[in-house]
Amino acid sequence: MAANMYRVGDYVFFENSSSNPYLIRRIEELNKTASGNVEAKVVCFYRRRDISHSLIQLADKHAKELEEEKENPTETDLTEKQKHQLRHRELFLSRQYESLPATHIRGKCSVALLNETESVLSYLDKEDTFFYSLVYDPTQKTLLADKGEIRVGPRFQADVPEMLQEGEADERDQSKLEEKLWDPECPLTNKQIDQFLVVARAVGTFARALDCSSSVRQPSLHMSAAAASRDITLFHAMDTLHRHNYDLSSALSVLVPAGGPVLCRDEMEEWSASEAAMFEEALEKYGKDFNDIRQDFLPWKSLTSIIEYYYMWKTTDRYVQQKRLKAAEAESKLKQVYIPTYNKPNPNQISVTNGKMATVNGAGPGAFHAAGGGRACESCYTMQSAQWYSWGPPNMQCRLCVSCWMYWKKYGGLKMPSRAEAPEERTSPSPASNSRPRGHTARQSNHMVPMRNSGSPKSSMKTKQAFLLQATRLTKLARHMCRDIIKLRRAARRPFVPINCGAIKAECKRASSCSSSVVSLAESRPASHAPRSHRTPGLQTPPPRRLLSSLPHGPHGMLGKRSYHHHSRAEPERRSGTCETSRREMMWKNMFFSQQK
Amino acid sequence: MSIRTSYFYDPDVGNFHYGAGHPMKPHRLSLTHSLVLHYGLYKKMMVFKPYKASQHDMCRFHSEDYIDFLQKVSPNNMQGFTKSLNTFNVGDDCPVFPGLFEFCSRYTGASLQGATQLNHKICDIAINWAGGLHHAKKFEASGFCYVNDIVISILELLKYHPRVLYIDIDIHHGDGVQEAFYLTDRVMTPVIKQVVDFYQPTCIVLQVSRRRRRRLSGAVGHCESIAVCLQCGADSLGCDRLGCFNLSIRGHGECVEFVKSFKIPLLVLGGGGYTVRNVARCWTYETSLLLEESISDELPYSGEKLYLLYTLKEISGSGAICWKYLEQIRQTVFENLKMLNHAPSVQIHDVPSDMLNYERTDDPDPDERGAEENYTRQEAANEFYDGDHDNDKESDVEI
Repeated sequence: MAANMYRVGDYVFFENSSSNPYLIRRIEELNKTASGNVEAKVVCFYRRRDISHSLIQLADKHAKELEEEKENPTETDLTEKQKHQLRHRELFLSRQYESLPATHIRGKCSVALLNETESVLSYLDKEDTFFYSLVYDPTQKTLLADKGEIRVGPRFQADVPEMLQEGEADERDQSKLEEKLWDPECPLTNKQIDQFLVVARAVGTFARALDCSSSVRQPSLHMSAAAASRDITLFHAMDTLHRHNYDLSSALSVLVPAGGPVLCRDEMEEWSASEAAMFEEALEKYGKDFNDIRQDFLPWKSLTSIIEYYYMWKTTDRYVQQKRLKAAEAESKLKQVYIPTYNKPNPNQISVTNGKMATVNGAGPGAFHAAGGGRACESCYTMQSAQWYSWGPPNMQCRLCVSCWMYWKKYGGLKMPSRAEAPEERTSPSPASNSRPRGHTARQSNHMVPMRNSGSPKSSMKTKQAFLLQATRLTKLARHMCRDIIKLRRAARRPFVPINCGAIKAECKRASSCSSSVVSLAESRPASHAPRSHRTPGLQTPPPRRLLSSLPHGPHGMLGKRSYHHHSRAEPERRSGTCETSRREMMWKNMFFSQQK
Repeated sequence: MSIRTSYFYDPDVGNFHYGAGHPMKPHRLSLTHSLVLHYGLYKKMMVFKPYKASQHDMCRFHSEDYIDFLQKVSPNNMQGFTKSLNTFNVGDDCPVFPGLFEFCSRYTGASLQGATQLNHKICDIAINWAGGLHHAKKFEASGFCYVNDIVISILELLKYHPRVLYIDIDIHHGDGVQEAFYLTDRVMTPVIKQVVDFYQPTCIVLQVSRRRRRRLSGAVGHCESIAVCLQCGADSLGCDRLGCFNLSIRGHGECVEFVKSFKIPLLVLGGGGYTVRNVARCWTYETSLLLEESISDELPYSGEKLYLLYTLKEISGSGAICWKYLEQIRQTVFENLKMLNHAPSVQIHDVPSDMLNYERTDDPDPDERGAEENYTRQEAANEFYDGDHDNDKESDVEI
């Protein structure tokens, strides 16, 4: 099948690690190694994520400049999703080569040089197509444009002279410069010229018959005639005609001077048999490095004569034979290779049937993922998928559905622009504990992502720095009440700006005075917008409203043993309004109750 | 009045070698010359052995230290010049080979003399297949070119002509020439970029030549005297070692013929072309066009050059392109042009092309009758009743 045939020049996906995206490479050569495996010599392409951030900024700046320079900027504004996906399609060419085993090939793709006339959106419509416009040098860490530019300046432009006026003399004297070799206005007809050439060849044949060295080299008459018909004889004949002003008789007499008939020999004839043998040996040894051949083997010959001889030698029989041998050798050099479709399960695949999790980094035994009760896909938030793949750091237990996993492998990013695109956008995912003013349980997220309850009783997330911040009840309440003063998101972005604690305290004191009225209000109104769920045993003071019930994820079994405080801390800021209101009511309740105690 | 054609050829210019594995082979020039002789074209033109350009001639465009460097460097003393090698971009694509400066002075001198002869009206068309190295810049080599003979000869033409039109049908953009004349309006190089059509296979060239004729004749009408410099790089042919276009020799020749039809002083130069046998045949064919001599498709018997296996105009697998694809290819060719800018100075690699498939196979053929199901009528409920009294159920109504 053509789909599995990979040839030199194809752009292919290589897999070198099960969790990383595919590598995009271009096959330059296919070689068979001694062990019988096929190895591909490839040119590397880098994705955006493989290049350092500062270089990416440079590339984006370059792209923006190109946009501005364009004559007709017709590009409509791209949606966020399109921009996001377009970033995945951009590659950077490098001049680096590497050798990879051909069995790691997973499929074909196509890479094209981005050109200004093509709409960038067209790349999004086609599968497996990428574009590049810059060249990345990994050793020097530079990005260069592949195209040249027209440079302007006196260093680059020519000095255009003024036109000469009428009568002004030109310095060049024609007669001294070139030598005329032929004039078509000659009185001779074509037939006469051809006849003269035949005569010249005849004279040459006779000359070879008379000459001893030639008769050795060309023993038969046929060979002498062939030798006499070579170009050099013909050119000489034409020159002679011209020199004698196209007078046939004088030209003929020149052909047969007093010494005997004229013999014109070119390099092919000039060289002796031993010189020819040496040349062939040198060619075997040095290849086509004529300078070296001359220096080591034939120093008495000039370089031009060696080159001339080489090209004439190529027309001989011996060369043709050698060429056949070389062609036979080259047959072993592969042009294409057949790689069957790779069907082995990816180690990142999460198997649902036997309940065992098989992650690459061995994130711990005993973890259990219920098929329906797992996390949603990190990229498209779907809950349904034929197959799940674990993705991201192992303690995160993020996973991707089938289509998003393929997208990740091929394009190196998530399909939907989401906050979960952590490795690319954040510089270093730190255990976010410090930046979060809330208390944490042992289940922390390493990324700034909403933590989702996967429903497993024991979390297998291992944090590098376990951090437990036990905030007082008042603090926790204050966070909700004084949201306007704290402005949590703003504060999170400005870690060095202190929060105005005095104002918060004042506000809390003021608010707590009217707490009793609010609590009674909360009690009278049931939380109709929040679905009820069962009461968990073990809770000392079961509140009428469950916090977790309003949240979209699964059972809160594991939290049953813990108190409200911890549990509520697990909620991220960005929940929907209804949840927050119910939470707030919860907190009021809680505070009231605890204060009652 | 018949057209006088001058042809410049230095017998030694073919005996230089760029180095092992390098695609540029000066030998193609001797092959061309030999074919020209054997087809009898030699006797129809003024043949000149050109003079060798001096350093002074080259410095009319290039910087002095660059030419100085070219003269001094050789493979034996390369090590002492490493800094200069980098500055002047010599050593990689433009290698140092023995006889480098001599090679440059030979082809430059020929181009220069061609221009001079046109100026002095010694001839109407001047041909120099050794020239046309359009990538060289003022102070650096580029794309296998060291000395830009085109710029130098255009400068010479500008002495006698107010404007010069430069046309380049090489597959690679003539950036050296464009850069040299970027700021002057006496040399029209931008025309090339819009003249996409020269790169099209034969049929489109025929179509478009009318349009281009209009444009050009508009330009010609403006100026009393104008000269044309045509660089006939043969790497736009199909099966070129470096190029990836699919022109046939005939198509390539159409461009030359078209430019010749304007009957303006014309300087014809060579250029790229890395499949030697195709280059030689192409340029021989174009020489015959310029001389208005028809030559046979069969190669003349010529003992030395037997390895030219094809007949004159044929290139294996060239020219065959379907019409639909051609119509769509206009835009794409323009894009390809841009993709191929400066390719010689880049490590040799293929440029991918877009595959456009315009066949729609999913629509059903409207001329065909469909399946039987589409043509049955619904049966009436009482179709097979015996008569009025045959009813489904007993009714009160008596008929």
